[in-house]
Amino acid sequence: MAGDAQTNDEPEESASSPVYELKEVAVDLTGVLGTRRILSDISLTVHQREIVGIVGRSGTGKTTLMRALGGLTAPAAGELLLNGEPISGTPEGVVTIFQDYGNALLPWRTVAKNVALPLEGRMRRSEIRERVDRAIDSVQLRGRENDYLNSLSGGMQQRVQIARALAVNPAVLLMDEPFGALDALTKASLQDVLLDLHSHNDATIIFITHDLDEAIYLSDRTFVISGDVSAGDPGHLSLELDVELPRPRHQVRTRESPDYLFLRHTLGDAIDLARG
Amino acid sequence: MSTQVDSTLALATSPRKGRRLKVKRRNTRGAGRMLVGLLPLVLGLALWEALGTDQSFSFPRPSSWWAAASDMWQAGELAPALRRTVLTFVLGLSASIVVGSALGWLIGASTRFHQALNPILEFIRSTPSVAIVPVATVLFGVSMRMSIVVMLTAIIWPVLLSTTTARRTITPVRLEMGHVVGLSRSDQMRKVVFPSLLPAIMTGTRVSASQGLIIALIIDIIGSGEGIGRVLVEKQQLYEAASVWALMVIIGLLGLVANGLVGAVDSYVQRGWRTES
Repeated sequence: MAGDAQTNDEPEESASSPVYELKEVAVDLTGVLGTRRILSDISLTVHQREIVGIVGRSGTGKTTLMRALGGLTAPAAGELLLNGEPISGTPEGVVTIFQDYGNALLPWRTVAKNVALPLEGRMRRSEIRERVDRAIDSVQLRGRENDYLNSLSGGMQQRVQIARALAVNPAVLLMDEPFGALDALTKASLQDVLLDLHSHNDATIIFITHDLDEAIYLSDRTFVISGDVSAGDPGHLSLELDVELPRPRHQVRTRESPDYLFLRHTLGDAIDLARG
Repeated sequence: MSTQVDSTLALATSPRKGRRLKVKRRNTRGAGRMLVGLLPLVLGLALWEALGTDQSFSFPRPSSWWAAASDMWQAGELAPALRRTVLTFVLGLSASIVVGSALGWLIGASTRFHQALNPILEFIRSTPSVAIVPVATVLFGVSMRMSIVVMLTAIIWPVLLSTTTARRTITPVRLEMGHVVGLSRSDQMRKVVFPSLLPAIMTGTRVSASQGLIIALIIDIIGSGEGIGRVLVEKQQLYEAASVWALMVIIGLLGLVANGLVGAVDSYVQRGWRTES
């Protein structure tokens, strides 16, 4: 035991310690139509510094899974452990980035004030400024600190949200279709911003997407979630895929490598892409 | 090298400067247009002054209005009446904003609350506020304090209803964001919920303010028996036409100032981030 504690600081050791452990997790939601099972039998383990993608069609419970991981919805059955402890409430060090940046950011605050929101009242003002500066630098928004959001493009606003998440030095970033509302080119550049950030950061990233290419391009491991919640078939993980593509990845070259295409083929079959 | 840096700096700052300049220009142009817009009014009054007589029962010359106003001022009729009406208006409106936004927030935050109260709110919303005054006067009496209660029951509704709707329509993502970034309950209220409601509170306040002046005058006339509304009705019953015209202008100016102030506060509150609509 004592030996464990000593080796914990070493990179290889900490890189493999599980952050999330889900064992046969099920989630119910209560709506106007009564209580329905949205997810069932979800088992997965996510290790530190991993980037895990969860890809699936609409109505498979992707967002619900994200909410469960973020502590916004409690599981109805099974075990959901974060760092070995059951989740209760929204856990410290876990930050969600929402697809709907327009509502996740506060339009009456400037860029810098939005990024500072989670830090206010928790540390000295100088430290807040330092952290905010660093976060804004890392998403390449220097020079726009004092602008209001209505003068920023969608991609820039999503960067602000990422900066706000980074400002709290999160252990886990949960991203709910983070680039789903952006055009293809903006999406590609933000994917690279994210990967670049991750290359010198210890955060674990779990994201959901309905974009196969995004799932492969970003992740170390990709899960396919299947099911049809509205037809009474709760979402479940139907495939786990190791993405062993070299990093740093390249928007053009990575996407034309045979390994990439093989992964994409496998994923496309699993998600039954040809069904349309 | 250094010139290049200078030019990129200039590029970085110029859009903001340009925007500010444009706003200023628009303002001066707006002021000019307003002066032009006033021209027919000024011309009409000048014609009236040139062609009218002071003896007319209906159309005394504008110069006689001024004389009538200073007579009323000298007789000590005007100042206390004005003070009374303005006080009723300001206190009644302030109470409506505070109580209306607080109640609207509470009602909007709870689906059950909202469902229970919605029929009553819809009924009151469709009742003209003027019709509420006699009932409220019967209920609460005519003292100064009661005038404020009467004002409150008559004009609280625009603020209350728009705040309720705004609270109900805050997207869940915004509230969840507050939890996710770890805001305390009070920070969530102060930094997320309240600013989200502010535009709606201001919109409600604009409507309440324009109703408020009407209600303050109605209270003068049928309730308290004091105030500028009362003086207006007395002068009309005495056929003092010049005084009636003078009082109308004074009340009009009062309304202009009130709306201007509310509008200025609204613009100040939403400066910088107002979504163009």
